[in-house]
Amino acid sequence: MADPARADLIHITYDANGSGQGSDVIEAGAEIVDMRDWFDDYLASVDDDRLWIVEADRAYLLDDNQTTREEIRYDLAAREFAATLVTYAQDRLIESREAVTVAEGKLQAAVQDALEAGVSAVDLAARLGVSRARVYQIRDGRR
Amino acid sequence: MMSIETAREILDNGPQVSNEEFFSLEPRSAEYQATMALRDEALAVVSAEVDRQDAAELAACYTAAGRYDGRW
Repeated sequence: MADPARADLIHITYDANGSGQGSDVIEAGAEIVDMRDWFDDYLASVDDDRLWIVEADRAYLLDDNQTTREEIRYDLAAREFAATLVTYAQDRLIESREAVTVAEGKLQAAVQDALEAGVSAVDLAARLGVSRARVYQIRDGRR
Repeated sequence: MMSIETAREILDNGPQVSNEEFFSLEPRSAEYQATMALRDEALAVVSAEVDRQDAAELAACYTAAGRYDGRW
């Protein structure tokens, strides 16, 4: 499980600094990505018309009814921002799984070519560091 | 699909051939192509695993922070 604070970095830093100064960054793998501009766009996209709809629905109002419009605006933007990041990561996962499928097909074709070119299954297995049975599995597209 | 453990082992250790032996292969040879294809698949499998973990972590973090409930 990742550090729970990571998810709230933007929230904390924006609350603490108002205009988003400071180190409000999200760690994404080995990269450090500054999301301030992106989040600002979200915040700006929550215009008064949308806020009015949300307020009318009262879904975002807290129990004490002291929530300000700016807090509602911020909360809505933060939720959409989080959903965007998660969706983006899920899209990347779909693409990378498709890349695995493509790579599997290329390996299968390459093994078929090698066997048809006269390379013995034993030699090919030794070359690839797999068992001879695995060579045939790859050739036949079995897992 | 090869397992993530197998993929990492291939990327860490490579096919069990020496560099000299590997580079003696003709680039267009079937053996060379198969070797490279195996490494490419291992790379794709590891990359997919990183993306899977990243997506799961992001969803878990934002869910824990009350920012994400699986809906848009």
